[in-house]
Amino acid sequence: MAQTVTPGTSPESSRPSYMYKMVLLGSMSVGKSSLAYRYVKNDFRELLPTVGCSFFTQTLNLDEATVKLEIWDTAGQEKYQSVCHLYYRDAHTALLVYDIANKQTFSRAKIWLEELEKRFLPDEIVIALVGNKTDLGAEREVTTEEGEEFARTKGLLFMETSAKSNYQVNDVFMAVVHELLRREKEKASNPSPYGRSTVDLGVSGARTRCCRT
Amino acid sequence: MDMLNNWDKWMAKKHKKIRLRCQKGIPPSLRGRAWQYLSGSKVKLEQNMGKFDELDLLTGDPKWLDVIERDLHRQFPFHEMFVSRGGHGYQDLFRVLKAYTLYRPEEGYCQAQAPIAAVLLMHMPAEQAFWCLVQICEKYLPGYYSEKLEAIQLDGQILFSLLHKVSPVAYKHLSKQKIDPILYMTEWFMCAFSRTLPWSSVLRVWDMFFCEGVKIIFRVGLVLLKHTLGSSDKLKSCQGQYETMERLRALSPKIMQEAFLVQEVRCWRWFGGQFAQFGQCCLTGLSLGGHMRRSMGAAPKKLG
Repeated sequence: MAQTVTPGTSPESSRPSYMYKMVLLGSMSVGKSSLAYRYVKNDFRELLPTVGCSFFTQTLNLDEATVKLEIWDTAGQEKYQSVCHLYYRDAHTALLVYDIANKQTFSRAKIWLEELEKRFLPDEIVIALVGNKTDLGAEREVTTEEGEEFARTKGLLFMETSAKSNYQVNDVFMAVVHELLRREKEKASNPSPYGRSTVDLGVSGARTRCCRT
Repeated sequence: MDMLNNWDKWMAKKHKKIRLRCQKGIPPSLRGRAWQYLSGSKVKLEQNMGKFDELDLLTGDPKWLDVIERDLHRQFPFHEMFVSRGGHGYQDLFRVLKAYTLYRPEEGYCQAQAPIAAVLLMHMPAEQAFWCLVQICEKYLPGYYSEKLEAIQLDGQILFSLLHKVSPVAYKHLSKQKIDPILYMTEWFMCAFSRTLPWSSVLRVWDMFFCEGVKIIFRVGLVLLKHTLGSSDKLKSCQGQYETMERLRALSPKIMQEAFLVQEVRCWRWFGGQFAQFGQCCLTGLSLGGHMRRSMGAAPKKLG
């Protein structure tokens, strides 16, 4: 992927740098880990069920900014739900993933959204609804329109993907990053106490945190 | 061999010798049998003759079966037993996990149980593995796989408090980064390190774990934390929360290596006293009740 650079090697420029924490949420076996794995390593394989959490990083060198995404990939089994808030604390963005061939996982994504709505204000977090496994089109249980409609009413980004056949995986992550940057710009032109400061990725240890407590 | 053939005598009179034997590593050819003796699963099986076959014939709750089936091909995919879908190991894993959901319907299936059952199946037949799993879930790690994960959260807090004594530097760092123990110890504890450590270390840790109980899991966790975050030098490259978490997910092979790890865990014998004392404090101070007592105690000493 052309936009990938290793942290700290971005050339001196006036471009701002941002760090965003992204959390992947959704039922088990909807493909959260596979999406992250496809996006970061551009590969697909059978992954062990996530127990607790696993981590991925991706640095994007875009025209307007350098963005470092810290991806927190969570366990999907309902048993872990009671501790999940510990994972998405301070997240800037969330991908709510469901399996288009499993209606139940779509309903579950709605419950996740309610949970997030309790903990974040709408302008605090960018949420994308992701219908994964389009490669299972023949077994589809959730139509594209249903997903789209729900996302529209809730003001979420929406995209269908397939981690297996590499369909729109990069696109959904990019859509989220662009939305984060758009909000960043909006805040810059209309400063608020919730604005995030920029961070130089070259300096180890320099971190941004938003002002939520 | 004499140990296993005259188990009751050895357990009653020479428990120290057994502990030492387990710390030195159980010979591979005896491991499966020894684990059954140590855990008490052998006795449990004898008391419940036919129970596993009975459960094995039942269909099971589709809710759990669906989840189990999704996980079957995702356990130790490189081990010969689990390489082929529908193969022997694959079927036995399904049978053991399904039987557990029928044995404890209120608990059902937890994804972290699959790697535990898979390791057991590498050492014993399905029925024996089932009763060994029962012992782990009920005696060694009670409540770990139940709804809400309360037991694991509690043990996370205990681990963190112990870390304060063992490595104040690591403790301070994790506190400063606001990293809740749940974020790093869930997989360690719930899978009894089977997905964390190199294979030879897993077996050595399990040998001690079956003999001495959950305190071995605590000690391993503390060794890993201490040697990963225990000096200012080590902390230089993990200043942020994410960097720290990444470091704890990708531990240095050196500290997970069998000889080093076992040596470190054994060295902390002195720690046992403090450990029990601490448990007592928690019990009286916080009145946390049953789980704490179970989790702080060693494995059942007298079997049968």
